[in-house]
Amino acid sequence: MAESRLIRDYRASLARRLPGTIVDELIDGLEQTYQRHLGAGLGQDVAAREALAEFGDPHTLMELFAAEASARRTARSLLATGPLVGACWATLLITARAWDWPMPTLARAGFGLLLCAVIALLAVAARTGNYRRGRHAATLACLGLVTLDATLGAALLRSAMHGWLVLLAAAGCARITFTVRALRRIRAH
Amino acid sequence: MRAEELKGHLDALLLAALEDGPRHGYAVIEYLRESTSGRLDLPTGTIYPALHRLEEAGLIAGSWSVVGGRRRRSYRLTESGVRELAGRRAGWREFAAVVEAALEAKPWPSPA
Repeated sequence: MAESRLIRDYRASLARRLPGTIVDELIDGLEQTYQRHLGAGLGQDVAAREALAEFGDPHTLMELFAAEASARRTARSLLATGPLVGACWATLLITARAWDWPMPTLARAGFGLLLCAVIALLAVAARTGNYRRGRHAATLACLGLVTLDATLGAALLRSAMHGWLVLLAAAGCARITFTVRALRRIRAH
Repeated sequence: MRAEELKGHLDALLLAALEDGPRHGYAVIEYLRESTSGRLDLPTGTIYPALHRLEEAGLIAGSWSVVGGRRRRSYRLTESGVRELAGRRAGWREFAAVVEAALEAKPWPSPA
């Protein structure tokens, strides 16, 4: 069945904003809505306009999907729990006297820059109404966060840990598991 | 009925729409419209993102088919979804009974 020109334009507009699988699903529903209006006796153009009005404009649809996306929820969870996990790592680093470690200044600066970048990316993913931008920001933030947590975990492995310090390290490492799982969900949708 | 009045109940409605068997997004919208004699006509744009969220939460599962040359995504309740629906239904009945009792309460002290 030939697709209405209006629906074709709408599909193209959606495709610029949302992944292909979501676009396919929406267009299937839109076509059925269009057919229902045609069946009710409306002309092709009026039926297409009515169907498009029911679905809403592509930008609003994108924002609704962004609001429900795992990228936004993950970013908000990581921002909310970040201070707590950060405090765990900080306690461990202080206990291990990390400032005495033989680490080049460049590596320390790189770590700090990556931390700032991760926080900025999480803030973008938590707020943006742009679906693709949120997904990319959350993906990069998760990769950065796993790198940071794994680096800290590996570095602290060399120091002697016991008792409650092990629990703090476990909290930090638990975030790696959470972040990797979240990353899979973000990339899957 | 306005969509904002249903805030907090949309998930239960979507799960209930899938209780009889798998439905695609448009069929879910039609089910909600027809089962309420047109009184529940939710904006389409809220249904599809909510279905994706429920799928991600493991309450429903989606699958693709091809119908009339178009790809169609249908959803079915998972076991977790069935349990979630039962819980939300019980919660709604309790909530409705409490509100009903409060709204229909006689003036106090009741006239002799």
